[in-house]
Amino acid sequence: MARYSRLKPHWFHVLLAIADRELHGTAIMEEVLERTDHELRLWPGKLYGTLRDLADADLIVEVDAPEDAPTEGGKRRFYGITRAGRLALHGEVERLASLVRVARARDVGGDIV
Amino acid sequence: MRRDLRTRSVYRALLRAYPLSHRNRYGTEMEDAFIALLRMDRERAGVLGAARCWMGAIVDAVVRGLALRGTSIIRSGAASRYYANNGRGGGGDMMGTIVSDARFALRALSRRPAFALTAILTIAIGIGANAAVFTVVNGFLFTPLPYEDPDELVAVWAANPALGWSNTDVNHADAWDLGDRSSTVEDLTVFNDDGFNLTGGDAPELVPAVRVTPNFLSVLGLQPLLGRDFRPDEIGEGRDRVAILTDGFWQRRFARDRSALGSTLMLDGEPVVVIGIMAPDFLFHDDRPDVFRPWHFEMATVARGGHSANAVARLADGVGIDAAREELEAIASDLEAAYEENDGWTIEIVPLHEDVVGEVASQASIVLMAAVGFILLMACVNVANLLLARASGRSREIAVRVVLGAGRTRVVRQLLTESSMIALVGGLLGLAAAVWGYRAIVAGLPTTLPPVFQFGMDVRVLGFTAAITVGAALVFGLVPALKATGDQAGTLREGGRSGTSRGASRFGATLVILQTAMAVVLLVGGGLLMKSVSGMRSQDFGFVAENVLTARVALPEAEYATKEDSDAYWRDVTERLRALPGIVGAGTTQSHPLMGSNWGRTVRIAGQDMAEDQTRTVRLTLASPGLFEALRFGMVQGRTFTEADGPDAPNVAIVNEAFVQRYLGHDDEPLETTILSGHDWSTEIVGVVHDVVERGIDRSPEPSLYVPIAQSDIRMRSLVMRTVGDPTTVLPSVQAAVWSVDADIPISNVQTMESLVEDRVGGFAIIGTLMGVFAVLSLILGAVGIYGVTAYAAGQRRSEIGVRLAMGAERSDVVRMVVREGARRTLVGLAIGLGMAAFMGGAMSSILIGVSPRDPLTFGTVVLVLTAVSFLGLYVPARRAAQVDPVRALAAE
Repeated sequence: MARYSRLKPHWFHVLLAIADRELHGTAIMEEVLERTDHELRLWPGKLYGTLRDLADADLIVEVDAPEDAPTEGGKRRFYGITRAGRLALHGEVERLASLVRVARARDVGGDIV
Repeated sequence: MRRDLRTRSVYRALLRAYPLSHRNRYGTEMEDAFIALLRMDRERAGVLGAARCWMGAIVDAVVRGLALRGTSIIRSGAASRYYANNGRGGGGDMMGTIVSDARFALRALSRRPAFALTAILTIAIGIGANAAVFTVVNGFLFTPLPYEDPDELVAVWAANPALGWSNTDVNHADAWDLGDRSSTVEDLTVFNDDGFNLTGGDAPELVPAVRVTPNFLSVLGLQPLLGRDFRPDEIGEGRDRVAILTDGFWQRRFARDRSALGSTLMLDGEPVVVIGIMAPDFLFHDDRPDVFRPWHFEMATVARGGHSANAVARLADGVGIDAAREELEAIASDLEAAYEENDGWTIEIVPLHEDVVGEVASQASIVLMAAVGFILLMACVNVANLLLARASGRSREIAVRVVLGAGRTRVVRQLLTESSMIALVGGLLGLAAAVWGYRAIVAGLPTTLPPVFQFGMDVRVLGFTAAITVGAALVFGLVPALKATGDQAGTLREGGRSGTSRGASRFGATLVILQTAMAVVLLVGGGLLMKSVSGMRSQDFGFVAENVLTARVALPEAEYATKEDSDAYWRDVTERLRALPGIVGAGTTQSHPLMGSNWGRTVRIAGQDMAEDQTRTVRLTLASPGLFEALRFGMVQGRTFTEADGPDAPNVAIVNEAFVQRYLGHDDEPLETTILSGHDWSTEIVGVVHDVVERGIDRSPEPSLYVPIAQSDIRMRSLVMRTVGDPTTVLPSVQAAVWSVDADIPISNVQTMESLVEDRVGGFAIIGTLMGVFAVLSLILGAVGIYGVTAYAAGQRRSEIGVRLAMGAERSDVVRMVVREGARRTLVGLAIGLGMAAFMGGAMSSILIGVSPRDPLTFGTVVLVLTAVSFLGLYVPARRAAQVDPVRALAAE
């Protein structure tokens, strides 16, 4: 149980959003909103505060915008996940998975008979 | 698209909460994110969704922006926290605690959005009203006049204490003597309104002007932006053909072309050279003139009895106003001894700023600030009550935290952070609303207001708003926080039911009493002012204002040199006007009612011993035949003027009722009285007219004397026309008629009499409207407060009520019990409020016209309304309390 320092939920969701592709801030916000069924709302202040904190923690990194990215209203920053970010995300997924495993073992979750 | 732009600009303003570096880096993208979010919310939930989104964005910006500003140090530690945070918290530093408190508070508030929204909106109303009113008050009272060392400037007025006259125009020669002989006055300028016919353009124009002594600008400590000031020798015939223009006129006439300097204007047919142009920010404290020209008078020939000039003096360095007053009064009494016409006259000086603001504006400022102060207090009381109710719901949680070692201070601070968040967001919302609010107030200010005032949100307004926000947070946050953290052991012992109930209900009772008292004060104030304003509109002005059109016309001396010429002109114009369809009466005068340009004159009454009370001062108005009929003056006795009262006919006069009451004895027959003035002027009274409101509608009527305008010589007159319908529809035909006599004579100041009345009432109307709004607000806040406290107190007694019901009490007994308790508090509040209102009424006396500050009808109505509203606020929660199911209430024990 050494790795019990859980990732903050919004950090987790941001990392998850950019796990397999590079996105800009608004797209991250929209993706998180959609995935959580509008439960987790990253207000602009919170979103960019989080992106900044994640970048400071070396979990994400700013990347060049893709060639085909629309540039309405100016250039947007795109973010990609770093190796450390991927590790942190992996760790959190493992932690959650182990919790799910424990729950399943006690017959919680899954189908309710 | 346009909506997006507007949204962006508002959101951008919100982003100012963030440090510049953050804004520069992420600002545009945050805007994009917000626009996307807002669009999504609007699609999903319409306007409500958009409103929620805005609320969230405001909280987000305020909380995160301010946290970022204060915590750049902590932020840099965010990374290490991720690796090292094992539940030790944010370290020992204070900023970290504040941020964590803020986050906690935000979470706590967002869990109860209805509570947060109610509290924030209530505070926003209180702070918004205060900020808006303060912005206007700041413009009046605290912003210095735009002159050099404005504190050294004083307005000089004439006064005649024996007649009860004060604040009267000065005699220009007297004023000049004062400046000349005084050692406490560094310099003094005398000036007077004037007007010139400007010809040479497309249409003749009457240019409003001020004749000033050449030292005018230097007394104010100003210089023209372009060109030069008047020279001391630029006075007298021929040498005074110079003018300084205001920026507004320069722009209108010359489109700001610099070649205007040195050009020649034809004013009254005379070539006048433009020697200077004032800066755009120059404001004359008294009026909006286009042109300044030098004024010269021969001291030896000026009649000392006439009072029609204004004067401003600059006190010498280090001289206090009292010392100056003493010296000037001494000089005035020397003048009184030297000139017979100065009998009874003395001098008054008032700091120029105070003079320009006037008594009404300054008293209104105080009354309105007090009113909004009460509104804020009432808002605070309501929020305190909400917080208290909420804290008691959380009392177990709080007690556990205190007992487990969080420390009372820490928990109090936590609760205070919550109230600070509410105050902060409420304050920001209030400030935004105040921008609209003060603009609306300024738009409602009368146009007759001196143009020198500038209104805007400056540092002072922001500082004030910040201060009241902090104050509000403490007022509504501290007591509930202390109460909530008081007796933890008791709370835990009793299972969190009643740990705070006794103290809280006492506190609630105090709140109800306070609120009721404040509501009484505001309702009485609002009621009195509204009654006063409606009284002003419907008062007897002595004339009928509907369907009357007025306009100013000035005859240039060059073309109308003799009295015969000008008499012929006025006769022609009046006849042509009367012949127009739609016009049923017309006359001319030098000053129509509410214009206030009639003159002060000293007269004697034949047969009266002058030693009795020395002088008889009157407002002198020159009137043509047809004027009284056009304005529908009411005649008490005698006749009005006719064409027969010409220049060669015997002198006749009409006086008003105030004249008869003040100056004639009981047995005197007015129509047999002769009035004397100067050495050889005398006139017979041929009529008595009802008192007419000549100057402000807030002044009591002064003794007035009307003489035929044909028996005097006056170049500038007002045309007064009574029309069949809407007066403005005849304007083109009026212009054509006037120009058919002489196409070079301009018509200016076209106004309906009704608009003049509205201008005069306007200042009071805006005060009345504001007080009315505040009164309604106070009623709502008071009702909500009483309801809240009663509902809360009744909720606390749920189990007791359950026991009573179980023991056989009727539900109506329970209702009666709850209402009776509340009613006692309301009565105490009413009594205190009535006492305060009676006291406040006295302070409002100068802005209450025609209404007693202790008007029984207003007081009675307020008591009735408040009693009814309080009863509702008590009855509804009492009924609900009585619906308790005794079994459940007892089971909850």
